[in-house]
Amino acid sequence: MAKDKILSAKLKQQELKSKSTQLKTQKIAQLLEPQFQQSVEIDDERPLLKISNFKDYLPEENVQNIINLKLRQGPYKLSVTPQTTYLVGESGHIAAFNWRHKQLECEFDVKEKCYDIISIAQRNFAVAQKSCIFIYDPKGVEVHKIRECKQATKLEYLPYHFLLAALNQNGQLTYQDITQGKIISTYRTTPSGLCLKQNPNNAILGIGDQMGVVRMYAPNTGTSLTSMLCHKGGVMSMTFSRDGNHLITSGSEGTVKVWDLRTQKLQSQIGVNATNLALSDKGILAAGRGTDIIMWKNCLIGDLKTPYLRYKASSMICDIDFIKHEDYLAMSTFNTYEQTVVPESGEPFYDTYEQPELQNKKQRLETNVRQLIEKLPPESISLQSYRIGTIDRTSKVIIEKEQKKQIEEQATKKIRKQKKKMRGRNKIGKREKLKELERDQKQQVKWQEMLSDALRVKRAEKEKKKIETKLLDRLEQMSSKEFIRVVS
Amino acid sequence: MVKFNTICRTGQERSTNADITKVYRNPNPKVHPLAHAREYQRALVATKVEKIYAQPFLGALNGHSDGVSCIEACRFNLSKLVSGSYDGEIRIWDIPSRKTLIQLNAHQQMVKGVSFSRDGMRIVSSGEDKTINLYDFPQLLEQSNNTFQEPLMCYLSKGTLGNVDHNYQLPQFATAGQVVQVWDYERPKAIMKFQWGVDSVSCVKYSPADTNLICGTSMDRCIILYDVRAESAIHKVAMLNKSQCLAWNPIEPLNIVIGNDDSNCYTYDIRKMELPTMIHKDHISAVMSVAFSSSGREFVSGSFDRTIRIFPFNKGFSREVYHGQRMQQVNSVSFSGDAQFVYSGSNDMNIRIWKVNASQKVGIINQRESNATNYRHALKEKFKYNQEIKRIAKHRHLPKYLMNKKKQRQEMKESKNRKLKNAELNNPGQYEAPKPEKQQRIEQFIQ
Repeated sequence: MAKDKILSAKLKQQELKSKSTQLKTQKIAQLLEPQFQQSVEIDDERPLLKISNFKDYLPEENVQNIINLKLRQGPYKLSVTPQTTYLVGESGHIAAFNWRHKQLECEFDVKEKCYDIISIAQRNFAVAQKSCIFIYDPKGVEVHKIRECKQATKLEYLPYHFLLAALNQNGQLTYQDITQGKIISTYRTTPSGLCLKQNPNNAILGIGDQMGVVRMYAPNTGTSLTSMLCHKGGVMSMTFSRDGNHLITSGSEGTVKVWDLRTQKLQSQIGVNATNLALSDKGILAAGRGTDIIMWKNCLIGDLKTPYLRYKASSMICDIDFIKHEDYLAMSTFNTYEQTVVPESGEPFYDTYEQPELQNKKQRLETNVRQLIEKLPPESISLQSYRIGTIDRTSKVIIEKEQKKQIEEQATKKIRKQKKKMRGRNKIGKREKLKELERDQKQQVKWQEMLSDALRVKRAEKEKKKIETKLLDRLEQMSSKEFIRVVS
Repeated sequence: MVKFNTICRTGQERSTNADITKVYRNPNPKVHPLAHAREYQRALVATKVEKIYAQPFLGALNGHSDGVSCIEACRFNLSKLVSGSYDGEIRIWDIPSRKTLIQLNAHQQMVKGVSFSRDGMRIVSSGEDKTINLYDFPQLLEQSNNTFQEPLMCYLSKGTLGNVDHNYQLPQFATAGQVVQVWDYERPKAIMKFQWGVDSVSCVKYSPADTNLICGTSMDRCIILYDVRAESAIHKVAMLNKSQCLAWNPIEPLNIVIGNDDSNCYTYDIRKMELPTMIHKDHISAVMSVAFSSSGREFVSGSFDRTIRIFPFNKGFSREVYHGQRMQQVNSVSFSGDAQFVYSGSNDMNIRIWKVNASQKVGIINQRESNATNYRHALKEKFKYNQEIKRIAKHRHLPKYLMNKKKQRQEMKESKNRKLKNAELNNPGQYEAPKPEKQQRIEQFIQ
């Protein structure tokens, strides 16, 4: 008992210490916070703005980054990082370019149907093609061919666990470890999965299906961790907020709903038909439908009544995404790639150690190594990620039960072989007797065989004789005339 | 009027290549996803890396032709060490170069104890041939080529001798033996003699704070505290087993640590010697020698079971265990003056140098490296109660014979406890509650 008291006192002390240091760092951070605030000041009371109107008022660097690229035919899928964009078209056209420095990194044609693209560690990218998933170099050189995932249509990458998740048309979800090339787990999810998205706070994958249900998956468990009935129709698309507390889904019946994930209850909704959703760092929601994009501000805190901005693309929108730590929204349409400015959407203060794309070469080399060393095990993925390393406060009863189970399992494993007991049973006399018996038996077998052989021979002779005598008798019976006939 | 304030990042911000790149930090937890899991992973990696870099053995000083019986590191000069061996030879070593500076044939028989004076000027050595030699250290260094150097003074004792310890301030020293004697430089005979009981005293040490206090361990399983001014003993404690060695805590001089033959070390407060304040259990055989670090926070003990263990001063179990394939019974241990290294002299005629922190880098550590190590240390401290990390941090390799002995001992202990429990359960009321262990080890306390 005394030991427990001391230990619990020490643990209490530790907790207090960590809490007080947290408060202190928060205070210091507040004091040292850089004084940059994004803002939009408008004199007239125009609630809706079209981005095309205010191009003249933007600073030059932002104007330079407004891009409109014409691409070949085929709906294009998108993956953006703070330095590069990766595009893949359904016809097989793959391109990667640095939008910041306006440099093309690689462009090639695969001549195969491609479904999805995602950027992976160290500037590689993975493409879900019809035959299998391929991983390419930053220069476009094919590095790996993943045959285990067949006909994957959706890809997602967990950066801290180095896991590539691929969702099939049949609902097969596979997790693959990129550093080792091992498949961590595969299992079947819903057969009608429509969209796949990662919760960045948890590393949990959410899959929305045609029944309107959103299910959460982790690599450890084969079944879903939780499920929420979100829509009456199918779930067209979904996004998570970066702190993992909110989920925004859009249904085919024409609603966009904001859910609070801690209580799993609806927070707000609006009747907008949206095929694509994207959420920025600061909580600006962009919903794409057809060629239009509507954006709302403060969707997580307030309601979705008044939209913030509108944008009209040149053709049907396929994929949209906000660029992290920048005020840009990137979208890929049927035949273009477009990038526009959305003020107040990005988080201006980034952490150098979290964003390898915003580091210089030396820093990046170091982070490559450090990230690999600190790779998280896939077993640690759970809904409550903050519980790792904290004290297990389950009741004693449950802990004892689990311990008993473990002991039982171990006991069943250790089944000892029964040793043959020979004490007092191996006397010389007995051994000799056994030997003699064996010898006799062998001899008997031999003799029997010999006997049977002899018998066989005798019988054969007997039969021969019989046949001969029969013939002779016949011959005697037959008349002489017939004999002559037979002979001649 | 429309005014926009948006994020514009241009890229490289430093004016020349010689400038450092600016590092941005944002403590907002929204920017750091999965923070708990990553921190835990970093702590796990830190403990594992510590084990990978744990290479405590630095080197050995070899030259003695018989087992090393006693060593002492110089307090005044970090690089000097004096050692005495079973064949009466005393060597003074220069540790950085691992070479013998001076070689002396001090005694005819075994050297029982060596001691530096606190200013590093004199060396005292006592031998089994009932002589005490006093050397002048600077003179020895001057004539280091001459192996037949004469001691400054030679004292003869009537009774057999044990350990010798030099006074912290005065030109005096105390010897253990049949009687505890206090000698002065000038006088050829002992100026004071203490005797309580019939048995001889094996080890004597002066208190670092009050130079009138001497503590000794005697052959009749006692620990005796003497007062020089009163010329008598103050009190003594009789234990169940004989104690071999003694060390005073330099920072808290009211505490002493003794190493016992029942493989435990006991910490006593000299004001209250009825009960030990702490029992340090981890050795498997008799503890031959104890030494405190100058920080007073750790002590090292060398034992007959061929290992040395580093204990924190207030914990019951050792922090670290060092053993070598060729290291035999450890006769004496000593801390270096800067509390970074431990020296152990053993029966295999070698003196080994070990690091106190096994995974620490020996050399110049620059600012960034020390920041990183401090961070890793803080991580390990935060997660040290976690099961997985505790298992890795606690793990120490022990040689097979030690592991087997340890397991045997544990079994014996468990069976004893089990039998006691069963006896109590089956015969309620007939058996007394067992005494607390600290009381069990003491026989009696005598004023």
